[in-house]
Amino acid sequence: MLRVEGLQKVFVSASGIMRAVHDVSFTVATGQFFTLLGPSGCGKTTTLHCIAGLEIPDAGEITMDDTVLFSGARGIDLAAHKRDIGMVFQSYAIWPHMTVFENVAFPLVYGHRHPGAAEVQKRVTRALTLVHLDGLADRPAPFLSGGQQQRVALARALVHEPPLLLFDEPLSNLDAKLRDEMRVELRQLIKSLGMTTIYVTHDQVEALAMSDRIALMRDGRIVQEGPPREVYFHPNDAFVAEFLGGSNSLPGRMIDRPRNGGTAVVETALGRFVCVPSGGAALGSPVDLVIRPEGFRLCGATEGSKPFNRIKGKVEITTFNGGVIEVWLRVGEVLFRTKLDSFAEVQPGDMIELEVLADRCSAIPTAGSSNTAGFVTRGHD
Amino acid sequence: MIEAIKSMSPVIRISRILGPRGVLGALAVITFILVLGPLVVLLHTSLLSSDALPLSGAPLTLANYVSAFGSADTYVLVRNTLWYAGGSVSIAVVVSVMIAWLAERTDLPFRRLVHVLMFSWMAVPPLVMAFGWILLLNPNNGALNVALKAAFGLRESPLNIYSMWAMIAITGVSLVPTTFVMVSNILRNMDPQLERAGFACGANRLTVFRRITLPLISPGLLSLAIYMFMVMLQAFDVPLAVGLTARVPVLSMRIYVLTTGNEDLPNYGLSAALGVVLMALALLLIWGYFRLEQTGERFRVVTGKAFRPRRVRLGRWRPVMGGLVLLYFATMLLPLAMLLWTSLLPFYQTPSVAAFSALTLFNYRDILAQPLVHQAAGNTVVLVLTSATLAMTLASLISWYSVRTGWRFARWLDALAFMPIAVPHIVMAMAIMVLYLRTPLHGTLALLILAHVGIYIAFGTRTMNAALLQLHRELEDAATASGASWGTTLRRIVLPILWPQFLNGWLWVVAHSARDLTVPLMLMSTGNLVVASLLWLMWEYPNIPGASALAILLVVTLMSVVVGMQHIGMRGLERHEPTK
Repeated sequence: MLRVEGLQKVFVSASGIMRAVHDVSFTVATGQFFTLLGPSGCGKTTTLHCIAGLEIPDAGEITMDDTVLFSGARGIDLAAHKRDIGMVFQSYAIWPHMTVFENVAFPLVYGHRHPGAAEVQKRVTRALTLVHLDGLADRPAPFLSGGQQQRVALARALVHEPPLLLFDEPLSNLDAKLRDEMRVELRQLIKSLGMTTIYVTHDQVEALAMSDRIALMRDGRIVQEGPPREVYFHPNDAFVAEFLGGSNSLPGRMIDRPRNGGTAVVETALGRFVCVPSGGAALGSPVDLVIRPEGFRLCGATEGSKPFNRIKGKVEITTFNGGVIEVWLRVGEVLFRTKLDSFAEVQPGDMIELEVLADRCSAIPTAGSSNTAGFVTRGHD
Repeated sequence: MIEAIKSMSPVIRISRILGPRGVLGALAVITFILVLGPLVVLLHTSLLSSDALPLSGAPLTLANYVSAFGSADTYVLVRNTLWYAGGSVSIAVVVSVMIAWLAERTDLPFRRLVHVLMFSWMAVPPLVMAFGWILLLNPNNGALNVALKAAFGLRESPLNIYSMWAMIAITGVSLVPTTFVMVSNILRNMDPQLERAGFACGANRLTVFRRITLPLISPGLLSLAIYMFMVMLQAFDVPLAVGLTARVPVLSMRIYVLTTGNEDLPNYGLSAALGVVLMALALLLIWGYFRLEQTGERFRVVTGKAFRPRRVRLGRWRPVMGGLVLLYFATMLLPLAMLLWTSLLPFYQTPSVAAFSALTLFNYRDILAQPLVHQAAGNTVVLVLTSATLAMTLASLISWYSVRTGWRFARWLDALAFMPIAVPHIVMAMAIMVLYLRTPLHGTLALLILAHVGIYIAFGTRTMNAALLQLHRELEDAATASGASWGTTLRRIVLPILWPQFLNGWLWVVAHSARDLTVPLMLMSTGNLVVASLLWLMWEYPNIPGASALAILLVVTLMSVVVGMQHIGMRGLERHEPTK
C-alpha cells in the first residue's frame, strides 16, 4: 500500500551536517499497523514528515498505491496538501480559535474534497461519535482537557476517511493512566476501521502493544523490522535488545550452527546454551547471548541437572509484583534479572537453578569490544 | 461557518497562482523599493556636490563630509543631540522603573488605572505636548510663569521653556509611558520566586532589590535604554517646536532646515551627509543593542508559566506613593488642560476666573468649517489606515517566511525589513523625498504612505516574529495534512490565531503614523496635508487657539480609537485563554 525506498534526508546546520534519515526502506501492507520506534533523534519523525510531505527528502521514493508521492530520481514531489492522508500530532495541534466541530470539519471544508454542508455535518457527527465526543461539537477548543483534545485530533484525522493515517507520538502528552486506556482504544478503533497506519513512538511498550509490525530505528537507519514478538524475543543487535526493555547479555562463542537454521549452540563462561541465532552470527565468531527476563524457568528440586541451558546462583533481591516475581540472581560475576512465575517461592539468599528456554534466547554478533556481561538496562523513556 | 468558505480574497488568488516562492519574490521587490532604494539614494546624494541635483550624473565628491566634519558647528550639533537624547532617556527610565515597580509589585492604589493611562498615552502626539508646555512655560506669558510671578511678586519669569534643560525635562516626562510599558513587561516576566528565595535566605527588602531584582532586570533595562536612546537621537517634533526658538540645534532639526531650505536654498548634499552621520550613530547603538540582547539570553528568566506575584505591602507609604504617582499624571495632563483652555477662548489669555465668562466653542466651529481641515482629516485617515494595514501585512508575511521556512533568503529579507529601525525617520523622509523628487509621486499622499510603511515595517516584523515563534508549528502542519493549501492555512489558521497581536501592532502603527510630524513636514505639499502638518502650520501662522482646538480634537479621536480597539483586542485574547 505504502512503499518507502532508499529515503535520505540530511539537515545542514551551523553545528554541521546531520544525516537524519539514511537509506530507509520499508513497505506497509493495506490495513497494517506499522510502527517506527526509536530514541529521540533517530529519524523516525523525519521519516513520517517525509511521507506526509511536511519535509522534502533529499533522495528516495515514496509511493502510495499507484501514486508517486515523492521521487528524487524523477523529480516528483506531490504537495503536502494534495496527499490523501490523516495525521495526528504530538501536541494535538487543535486550533484554539475554533470549536470542536470546526476543527473536525476542517479537512472536509478546506481540503480538496468539498462535500456539501449536509454531508459535512453527517461525517463530522459520525467521526465525533467514533471517538466518543458526541456531545461536545459546539465547545470551543480551549475548553477541552488533554484527553479530549487527543480525541478531537483523532476525529479530525479520520473524518475524511483517508487511506493512510499517520501518528506522531500521539500519546506522549497524556498522563500514564489515560495513556494505557488510549493505547487499547486507539488500536481497537483503527483495526475496526481497517485503516493503514504508520505510528511513530519512542515508547517500546506502546509499540509492542499496538503494532502489527515494528521498525526499530537508530541514527537514521532501520536496525530491525518485524512483528512485535520477533523483535522482542529475537533482537538481532545489542541496541534492539537494550531498547525494548532490559535484557540479560552474556558473551560467548558460537560453536555450532546448523546450516538449515533452527537452533545454535553458544559456549560461555557459564556453560553451553542452545539458542536461536539472530543477526547472522557466523560459526566460531564471538556472540552475545541475549536473554529476556521472561526467558527463564525455575527448575524443581527433583529435576535432574542437564549439561546445557542451566544457570545456578544465589538470589539477591526479589520483588513481588502480583503477576510475576522479579528475581535478581547472582552467578559468579554475573547478575541476571529474571521474571518468574509469581507462584514460585523464592527468598533472598536461596540457591536456585534456572533453565534458560532455548526458544526465548538469541545469539547476536558481538557489538564492539566494550561488551560486559550481565544485565543491560535502559531507562523506559 | 461552512457558508463563508468559498470566498477567495484577491491576495489568496495571487498567492495560489504564484505559490509561496513567488510571493516571497514579490515581497523582496517591495521591501527593496521601500527600504533599500531610499538608503542607496541617500548615500549617493551625500557624495554629490552641494549644487548638484540628486540623482543626476554629477561626479562624486567627499566635499560634503569634509565641510560637515570640518565645521565646529557639526560638533555642537552632535553634542546637543547626545545631551538631549541621553538626558531625556535617563529621566524616563528612572521615573518609569519606579512607577512600574509600584504598579507591578506593590499594593499601590488604582494600579489598573495606571496601566490604562500609560497605554492610552500612546495616542498623544509629542508635538501636542510640546505646544501645551510652551503655553505653560514660555517666558513672556506662560501660564505657570504668570502664576508664579503673581504668587511670589517676581519681576522676571522664573521658568523658561526655551532652553536645553527644559527640552530634556519635558521630553523625559513624555517618554515615561513608552518606557513604562517596556519596563513593566520586563518585571512581569521575572519570576517573583527568585525574589522570595532571597527573602527566605534572610535578606531584607533593600538587599533583595539591590542584589537580586536589579541585577536580573539590568540587562533588560540597559537594552531598553539603548533602544530609547536611539529613538531619541532622531526625535524631531519637540526640538522643532522648542529648540528652534531656543537656538539649541540638534541633528534632526538641522537636516530639516537644510533640506527644506527655510534659511537658504536647499542643500541636499550636506543634509544627506549629516543624515549619514546620524545613521552611523544609530547603527553603532543598534550593534550594542544586539550584543546586549545576546548576552541577555543568559539571564533570561522568562519561565513561560503564569505566576501571580505576591505584592509588597506599602503600609503607611501607600498614600504617599499613590500621591506621587497621581502627581506624575497631573504633570502629564497639565499641558493638555492648558491646550483645552486655550482652545475655548477666542484669543489667547492666561487662565483666570475673569476669563471663564469668555469661554466659547467658536474655535471648534471655526476649524471644523474649514475645507483645509476636512482635507487634512481625510488625508490622515487614508494615511494611517493604509500604512498600518500595508506595514502589518507585509511584516506578517516576511515574518512567516523567516520563522517558518528558515530559507536563508527569507531571513535575509527579515533583516532588511528590520534595518529601518536604525534609520532615523528624518533621514528616511529625506531619502524618500530625494528619490522621488522628479517623479509624479512628489508631493502626493502616496509618498507619505510609502515612507510610513518603510519606517513601521520594522516594528511590524518584530511583533509578528515574536508572535509566530510562540505559535506551535504543528498547528500549521495539521492544516496542511488536512489538505489545506498554503494560502488557506495562512488565512484560516495563522491569521485568526495571531489576530490579537496583529491588531495590537496595527494599532501601534495607526497611532504613531497619525502623530508623526517628521514625514508629513519633510514631504509636505499643498496636496498631502495631514492633521499633524496642518497643526504645525496653524501654530506657526500663528493661530494658537485654532491649533489648540485641532490638537484637542486629534488627541480625543486617537484616544477613542486606541482605547476602543484595545478593548476589542483584549476580548479576542480572552477567548483564546484556556481555562483549567
